[in-house]
Amino acid sequence: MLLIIAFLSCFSCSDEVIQPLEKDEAYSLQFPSYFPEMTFDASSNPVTKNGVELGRNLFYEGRLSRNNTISCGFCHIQENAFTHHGHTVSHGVDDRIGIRNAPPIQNMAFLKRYMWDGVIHNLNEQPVIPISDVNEMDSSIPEVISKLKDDQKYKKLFMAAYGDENITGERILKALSQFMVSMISADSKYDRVKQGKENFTSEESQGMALFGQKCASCHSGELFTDESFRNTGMYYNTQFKDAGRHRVTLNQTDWMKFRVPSLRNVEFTAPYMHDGRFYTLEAVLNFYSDNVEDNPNLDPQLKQNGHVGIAMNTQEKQLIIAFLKTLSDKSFISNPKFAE
Amino acid sequence: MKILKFLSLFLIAFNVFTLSSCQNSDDNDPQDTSTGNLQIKFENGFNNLGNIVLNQTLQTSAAGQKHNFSAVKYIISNITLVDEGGTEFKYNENNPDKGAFIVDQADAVAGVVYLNLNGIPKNNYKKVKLGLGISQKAYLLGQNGQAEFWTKAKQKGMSWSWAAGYVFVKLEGKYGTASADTEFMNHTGNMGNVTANNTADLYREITLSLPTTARVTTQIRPSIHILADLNQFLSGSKTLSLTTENNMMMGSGQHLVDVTDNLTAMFKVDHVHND
Repeated sequence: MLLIIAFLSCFSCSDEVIQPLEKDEAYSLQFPSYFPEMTFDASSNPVTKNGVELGRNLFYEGRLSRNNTISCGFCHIQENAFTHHGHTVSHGVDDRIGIRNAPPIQNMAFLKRYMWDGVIHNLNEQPVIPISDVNEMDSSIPEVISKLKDDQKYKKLFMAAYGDENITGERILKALSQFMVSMISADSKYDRVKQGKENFTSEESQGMALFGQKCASCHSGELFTDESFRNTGMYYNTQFKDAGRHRVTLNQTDWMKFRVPSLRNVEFTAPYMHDGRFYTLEAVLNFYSDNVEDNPNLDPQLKQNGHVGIAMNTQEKQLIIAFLKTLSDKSFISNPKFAE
Repeated sequence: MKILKFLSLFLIAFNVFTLSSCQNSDDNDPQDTSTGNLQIKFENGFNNLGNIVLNQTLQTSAAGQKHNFSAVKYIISNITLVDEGGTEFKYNENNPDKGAFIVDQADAVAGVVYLNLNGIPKNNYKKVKLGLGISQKAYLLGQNGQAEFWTKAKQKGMSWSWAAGYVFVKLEGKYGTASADTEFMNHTGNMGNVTANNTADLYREITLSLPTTARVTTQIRPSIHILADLNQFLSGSKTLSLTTENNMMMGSGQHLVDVTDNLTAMFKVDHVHND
């Protein structure tokens, strides 16, 4: 009798538990008018609320890795503007060590090239690299599909985002793109000053002027990168054997050229450079003033009038750092929409 | 449906009745059910050199390596108290939100990190058991089952992404032969579901005898003073050396299994105050 009651009551509950799927709608991407034009092709991958939500779940999904432990969020930690704080280079499955410092994930919709060497041109293709790299997630798209296809949660999420439960590689990648596209950082003090809502301190203003003279030829525009590849006179790290753009083109003139990174949220993304060799912004600026190594590929911007490096004194460096910190967007690194 | 509701109401009433009748019989029991508080103090040191001062105290390991620490943090959970008769009181077992703590050397006041426990049944306790890390049982409750502690761990840098889970012990500093000049980071912890992922389980339970009985009453809040000898890290039951292969390790690889086994022996209760 009790069993029957229990069965009946469960049965009657389950009728009510099933909720209608939330209606999908376009995700509104908001960014300031002074941002560059969006490069992301939304016509082939429309960004929707449910697509972004699916992408967020996939971003924090350990089953994207061979032994289910390493999610994208493992190396891209929100509190550090989606970098691997404290680690020079990334750690992956079985604690294997990669060769590069995890770059921030922010404002991806506006970039033309991805990765330190620019090997990826289309955001939809980017996640294939970490998913399949043996030192990162050491898996493959078919393996990921086989792990997720019978999962009730993902059936629901794929249905909500794409209208049916079918899990394909293309859908996984496009959903990850949608989530990354939604990660817009545009609420720093710099932005608020630009929008007339706040004012710089005198140090910050002086720092901005110095930045304009000494850094902005490469770190240009509102994302503070011209997206070019440059040799900045860093020594070749024999531990990682990474010559940057050269890995892609095998062209000697690309030896040790790396993509100029955006400086937004740079305060949160230590350590710095492609291999995390510098732990502080001071160390980075000290490198540019004193330790740039002359070499045939050295960027001409770093060898003007026969002078190697960028002339800066200690006080100027402090002012530049004060300005760099105005690029910090605290709401971005604490926004629950991007959290696990 | 109405009949079902009526029946379930009847069952609830029946349950309440049986439960309350149980309680009545308990009330007749002379046993004192009052509770008190307990404090556990962690003092991290090198046993032959005294307290660890971050970035300062320099130790030479059994293998002859100089090393210091810039960070010493570990998670303590599943604290259990064992009374004179061997009966155990488990403090919020496998409930990290209420029963897990982070001992962070950076929080040490005069070398000591304090954990405060409340609602401890009045009793005389002879032993304390500590979990180093977070048990699989607790981890597998899921992220929502421990949102509070997960957030705390995140803030303290004691978490990876959920699929990997908690950092159990975080040791960072510098090491070298002549002087400590090379950075190291050893972050131990389980990689998610260790059975499913076929990785080592680094959660350890450690039983410590108390030199003096801890007498918990409503009036007395005993304080158990634990010394943690971080010299065990490299100079424990297995002599370890930091190398370029293992100086940046995180997770549960073999070196970190060895580190965990060494650290399991680092705790001892120095003394207990009953006041």
